[in-house]
Amino acid sequence: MNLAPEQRYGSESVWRDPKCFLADFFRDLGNSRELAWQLFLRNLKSRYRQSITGYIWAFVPPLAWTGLFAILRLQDPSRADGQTGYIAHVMVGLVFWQVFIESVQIPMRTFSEARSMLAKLKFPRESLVLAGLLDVGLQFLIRLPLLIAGWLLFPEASASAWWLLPGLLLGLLAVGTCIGIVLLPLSLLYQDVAPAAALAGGFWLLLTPVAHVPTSTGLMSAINQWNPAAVLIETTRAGWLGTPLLHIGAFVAVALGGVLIGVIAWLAARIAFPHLIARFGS
Amino acid sequence: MSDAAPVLEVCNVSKRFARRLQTSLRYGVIDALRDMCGLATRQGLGHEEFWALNDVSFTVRRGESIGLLGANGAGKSTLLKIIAGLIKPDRGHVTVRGRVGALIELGAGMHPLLSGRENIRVNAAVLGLSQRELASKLDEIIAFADLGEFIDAPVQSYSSGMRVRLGFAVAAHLEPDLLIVDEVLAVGDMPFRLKCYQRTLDLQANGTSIVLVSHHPIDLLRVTSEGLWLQSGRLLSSGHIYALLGEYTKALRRSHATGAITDSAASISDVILTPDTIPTQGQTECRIFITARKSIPLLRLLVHIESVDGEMLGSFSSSIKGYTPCIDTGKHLIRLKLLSLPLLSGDYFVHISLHGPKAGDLYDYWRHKSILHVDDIKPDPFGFGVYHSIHIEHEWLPPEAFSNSIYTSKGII
Repeated sequence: MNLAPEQRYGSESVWRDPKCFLADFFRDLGNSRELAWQLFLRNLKSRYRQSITGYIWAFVPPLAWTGLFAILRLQDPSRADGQTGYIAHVMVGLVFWQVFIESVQIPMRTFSEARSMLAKLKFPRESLVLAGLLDVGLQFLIRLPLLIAGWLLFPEASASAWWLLPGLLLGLLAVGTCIGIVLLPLSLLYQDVAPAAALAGGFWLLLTPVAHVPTSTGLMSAINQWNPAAVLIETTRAGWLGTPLLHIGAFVAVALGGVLIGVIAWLAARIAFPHLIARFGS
Repeated sequence: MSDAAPVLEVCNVSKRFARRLQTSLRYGVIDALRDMCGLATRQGLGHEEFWALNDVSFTVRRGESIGLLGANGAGKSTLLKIIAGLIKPDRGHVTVRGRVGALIELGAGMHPLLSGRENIRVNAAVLGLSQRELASKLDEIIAFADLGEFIDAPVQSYSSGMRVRLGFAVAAHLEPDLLIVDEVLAVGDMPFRLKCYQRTLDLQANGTSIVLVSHHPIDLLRVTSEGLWLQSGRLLSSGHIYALLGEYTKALRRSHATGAITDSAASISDVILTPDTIPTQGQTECRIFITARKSIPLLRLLVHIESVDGEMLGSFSSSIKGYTPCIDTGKHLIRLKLLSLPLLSGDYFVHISLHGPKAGDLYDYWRHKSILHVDDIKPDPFGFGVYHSIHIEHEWLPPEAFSNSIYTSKGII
């Protein structure tokens, strides 16, 4: 059961009794696992019942973007060599990008879908995010053939760093979710946040060296020095294809920083939820 | 937890809301930020704000049941949401001891594309039932919902009554210490509602406390023993549900009462019932004080008796007894004897209207002002006594055996 034997809901700030606040958080986190699994199964069962093409939708975005980038590159005859390697590089990058950007969207999407539940039922809110992350994981598994195809197509591919992949993927998921959590409270109140985030996601993809080789000079280089996604995508892709891991230190720093910010943002969001739910009604 | 400790304590709870959405959202951000920074709650009301709940306090002990009364916007749902821990009070606090089952909206979290059976699993998890607990209760829940083959049909094909069946079936099997029900049973059909009441009473007998919001007096009488009356966010009155319901409905009627018709030929200045409390089948005298502004050749009086929950029970015109006096300008007293009133215990309005000779002549309407109390056997909503308003004289005959040959559609011959 998600409620302790005695529960007090007062007007005073949670900081008066931070121990109790943190205990509530950990209890909810523990209680949310089973519910998260049920919500994940629910979403899974329902998603493709009104769809003919089903799981094909998991493949469409990375394939479509890969095709687009390949066509754009073909416009430049000087870069006609190494087309296969390029396609593999882009496709692998896009699969990892999908993991990252979907985890950014997860908190906002799951909370927006569960608005009525949030306003009417008390349940561990963590379960919504966890169920969303399980879904991102599943989508990743469905896209695994694209990664394998990319690996086979890539000229110098090796499996030497595959042992690092679980950690790399977790970092990608964690940082993405943390960014989503930072945006979550405001997105519950204002509908401007979700479309702005979707638009920003498109720009972000083009700025991040997913489809292009990063430069060491110029504006793009300056931008990407501060772009956590650049480090995350490049490192994870390098881990998969077996190319040199140039930014592993930065990856660890970004992942740890992201997790720290994410946990703080989630605790802040927990404080905000009762205020926000009171305002958005049902 | 000792049995003596209340299951629910609501102490000086207040909550403010803003009328305009934009302002409300802005205050939402301000309040959330203040709370995150550990700053004290804002004091008083901001621009365009009002108290949706104002200084409400009460306790509910184990096994006790409370009915919440109040017009729309009185703060009932806000109070339930604070008790359920969904929103935070701006002043005061709520303490809940034990497991809470909140039925604020049935079927919240149900997925329309999934079947009833699949939704039970998810709904139970959302409401806090572990899958192990559910496994032992699943058959019981399905039997309670009584949806037949529809249990495996997608919920989007369900009627609202069927959704209520499913939602209540899950929630009623949580076995909570405190069950909060917000006006959700109204859509179920009668047999299912009776089943819900029975389940609620069973839970209550096992120690569950209940807080119920309903606009149906009969629901409140069936399930609750005490009542709280909220008006504009304040706790106006509390007490035994039966008395409180009477008081509440009277006030509701009074607020709807129309004012006197001005500039008419005659008006009623007072009506006195002597006595104003009678037993079932008792009689009373109705003294009607009339002021005539001009002479009326033919005065008709119409008398209506209405139960406090708004059911018109009977009306008659004075002309049926040939009583159509001619009155001059001035003050007149008209006396009416109401004989052998077949009314069960409860409060009843005696409305009187003054009319002239033509059907369209209405001079005055004395409405929702005179109340007749009938004090006799206490009504029993559970099917073991008398209920509703009218006393029905009856007699049962001893049972007899009959054979099909003597039974026709017209009865026994």
